[in-house]
Amino acid sequence: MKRILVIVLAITCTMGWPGAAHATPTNDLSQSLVKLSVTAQEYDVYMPWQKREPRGRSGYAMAVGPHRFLTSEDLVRNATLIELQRPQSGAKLVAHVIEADYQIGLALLEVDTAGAPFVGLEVRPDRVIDETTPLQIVQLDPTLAVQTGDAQMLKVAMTALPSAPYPALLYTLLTDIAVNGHTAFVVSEDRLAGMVMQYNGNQRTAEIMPGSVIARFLEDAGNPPYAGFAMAGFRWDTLIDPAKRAYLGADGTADGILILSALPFSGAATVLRPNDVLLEWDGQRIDPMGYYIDPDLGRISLPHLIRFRRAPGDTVPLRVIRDRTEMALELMLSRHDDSEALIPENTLRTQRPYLIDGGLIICELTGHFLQARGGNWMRTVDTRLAQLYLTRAGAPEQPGDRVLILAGVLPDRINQDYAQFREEIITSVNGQPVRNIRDVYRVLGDDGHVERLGLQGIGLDLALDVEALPEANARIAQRYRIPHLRNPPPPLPQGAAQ
Amino acid sequence: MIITNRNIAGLLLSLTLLLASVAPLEARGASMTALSSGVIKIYATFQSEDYATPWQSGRPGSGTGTGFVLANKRILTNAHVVSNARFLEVSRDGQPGRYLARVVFIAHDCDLAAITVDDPAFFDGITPLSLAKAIPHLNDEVMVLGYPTGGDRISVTRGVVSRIDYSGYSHSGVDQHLVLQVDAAINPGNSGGPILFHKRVVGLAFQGLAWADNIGYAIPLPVLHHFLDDIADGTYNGYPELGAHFMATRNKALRQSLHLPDTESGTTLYYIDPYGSAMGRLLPGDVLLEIDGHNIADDGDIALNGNHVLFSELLERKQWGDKIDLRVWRDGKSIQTDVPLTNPVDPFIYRNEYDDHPTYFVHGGLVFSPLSRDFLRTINNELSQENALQLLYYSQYAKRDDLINGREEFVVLIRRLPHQVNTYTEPFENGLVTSVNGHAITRLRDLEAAFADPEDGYHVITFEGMERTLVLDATSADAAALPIMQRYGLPSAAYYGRAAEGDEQP
Repeated sequence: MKRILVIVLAITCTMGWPGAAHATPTNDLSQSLVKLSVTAQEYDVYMPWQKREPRGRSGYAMAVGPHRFLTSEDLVRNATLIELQRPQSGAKLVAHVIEADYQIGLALLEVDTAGAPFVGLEVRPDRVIDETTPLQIVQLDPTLAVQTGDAQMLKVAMTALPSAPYPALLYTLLTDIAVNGHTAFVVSEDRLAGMVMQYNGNQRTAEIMPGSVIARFLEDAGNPPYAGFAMAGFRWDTLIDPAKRAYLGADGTADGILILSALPFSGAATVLRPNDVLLEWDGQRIDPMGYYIDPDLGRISLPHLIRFRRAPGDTVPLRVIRDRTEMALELMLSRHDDSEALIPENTLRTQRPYLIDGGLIICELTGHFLQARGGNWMRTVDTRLAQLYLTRAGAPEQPGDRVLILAGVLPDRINQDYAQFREEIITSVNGQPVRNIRDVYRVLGDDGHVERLGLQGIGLDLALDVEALPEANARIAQRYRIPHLRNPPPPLPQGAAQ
Repeated sequence: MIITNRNIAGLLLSLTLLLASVAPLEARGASMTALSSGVIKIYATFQSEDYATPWQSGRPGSGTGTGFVLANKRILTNAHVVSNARFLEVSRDGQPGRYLARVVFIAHDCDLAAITVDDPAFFDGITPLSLAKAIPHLNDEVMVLGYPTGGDRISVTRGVVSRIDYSGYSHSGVDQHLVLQVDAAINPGNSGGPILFHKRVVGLAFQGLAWADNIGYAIPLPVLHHFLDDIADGTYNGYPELGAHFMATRNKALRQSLHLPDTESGTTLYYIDPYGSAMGRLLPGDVLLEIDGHNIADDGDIALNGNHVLFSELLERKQWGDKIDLRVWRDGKSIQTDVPLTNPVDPFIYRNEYDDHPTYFVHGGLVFSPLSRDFLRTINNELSQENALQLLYYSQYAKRDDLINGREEFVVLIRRLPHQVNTYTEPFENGLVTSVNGHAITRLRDLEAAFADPEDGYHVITFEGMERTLVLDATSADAAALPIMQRYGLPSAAYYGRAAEGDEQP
């Protein structure tokens, strides 16, 4: 029976796709598609002074110019070396990142040495891809030969990126080829139509970032400074419950979603209020489920309208019901900056600022810190930290608020009996209230030390022997092989408020 | 440990252990017969509460445990053997018939209970057991009597005292007391049975470690004495709680910051529980130097009867109303003070609950109940969900993070009984209620009045840490209240507890 199934599948595959035009790329893609080998190293979340073991990753990159390539952001994240391999000669070229946007999962690379130019593919920028659009998946096989397979459009939706918690416009394709990892590419009539962000081998479906988003990214990345994609800065919920609609005065219309809150540092902060009913965004009516009718894509959710139809700095008109009265408002879009959150995700796993004094490791809590405990992290981390992350991660009460924690205690006689306070929230240093690591450095000055550490809910400061600290720090640094006990945050930009 | 009819998995293993213990019993002949006459088997029919559907109880189950007779016709056993009991019987080894028994005192904080049999014939021919004068030493051989699983007759096992330590008492889930660890086989059914040393009781078998071999725990003599002394006046008050969290005072800088001279030693307090005896008497930053005349070492130990034990062992010996005398280092000088020991009702300690139905209130198909350890257990698989995790946080940090905010208990929307009036309320399940119709909810009883006062024709419910508000059409919800109760078989719209209802034990 198994054998019969294989035969049937094989026949299906060779027969091609009903409804989809079967097309072979006319360009020689071996001049455009390269294998990408990346050595990457991320910082150790528990020992923030050091990096973890270097690891290798591989994927593909597609030439979008003579010396520039497109690939996925997570492939080159924390890269220490990026090498491109030509399919024909096997020669490896070193490349570097021109721009990488983790919010849409794309990266633009450039080779370091000028050699024979590659053939850059033109990007197909139109949004309309349907089941009749000829699409081909292209990738390299283990011998670096170009491999192609047909694909058929199934659906389009705003979906969370596999590599970061941001919604992106992703098309789902049914493929007749087993895609060997993400960063395979989609070509349509000799033009780049998308990049595979995720592949499901069981269903043979690929989630692709479409050419329309790629084209905008490339144009933006090619004209620095990079502006990125927009965010509005509010949390919302569906508004279906008739009782709630009536209570909010939205029972006279079929449209509208419920505004839950606005992020304090966003354009929404001064415009939207909790319990506003958002009826219309940028001229489009928003239904109670949060969808609108896009002229190109049909029914799609509101984040598309915010992120991909406008740019940071644009002002959009909106209509809301507030206190049972409909009104017109305007909101300026901005770019989301993860570092402004109360608990930043640190998706990029970059080195975070820290301070080690007397073996006490002080740093700000991040999503990465919590999730590094593994899939069951919510049960293994301190309940208080997990609860803060789940309920308030994105919403500091004041700009600059962070959750400052005693991330660890490196046992030494100077911190004897303090290990039990690991993962407690730090509220003061040397008697002065602190809201973030910048405050800690401000309190300490250039050469000050932590003499007393106040912890949330603990009625007693942990004290360190200041006179013994220099010697203890040297001892701890030497024993635990810590090259730098201090890693202060970078200076704030001129004129920036903390 | 109670064996339920649903729990027979350990039978085979226990059988092997029991066979090995038969020979010593026969060898010791008549003296064993006298001892075993005071060791009785307890048959309990119990009914656990269902905290997910608090208006109804779980299926009745049955189990057996052990008890032993003391001089005053009282039978001492574990609280967990007789908790939630609906029907109790006892029998004697080698004697026909069972006798009805009843609980006289129960102490959930130390897992002990005193039961009795009203029929005086039961006690005919019984030689009551006597309590020893002192606990045995490490490596002393002890004997465990009881009725463990695997047979109907009394069983004897032997072992040595392998550790004397503080440990958690799983019955309440939060209390810690002294325990006697023995390597004799203690199996389900042994619970409540005596541990004998030189034919006198030095402990009462009560719990084991499921994943370890030859580790059984007994409630030692001091805890038994504490219980018996406590009930002597006809009321069980329970262990007093000092409510002071402490840390070692070995750190040089910590000592300097407290201005503690090298000549002094003690343990440093870093948190005072608002519901403990120490509240208002001791402060964070105080160093306890002496307790009842005993010097306290920097790690919290005191010398007691030639042993070094944690100072809290001295507290273990105190009863409600007693006081402790303390010498305390505060603000750079030594002061003398005392702390009267009490044990006020603490709704935020989250012990396992027994012997009463869970309280609840239902309106419009929304079921509310106070946050409890038992309810948290029902949502253990949902802890990745935001609302459920928040409940766990509130149960652990209510006091330290000052979350109580004038409340007598935390009221939770524990579930909804689906009906068209509450169709869209699912995201609010496990939410911690802060207000209903503008009325702050400080206890379950507040809900009734709050729901009677809708806001412009709506019931508006807000929740802790939640940006959404729950809105019900008041007219529809009020009209549907009774039909929903009838549809889902609720006997009443609320239950506020045995005391409020003037009920007997359920």
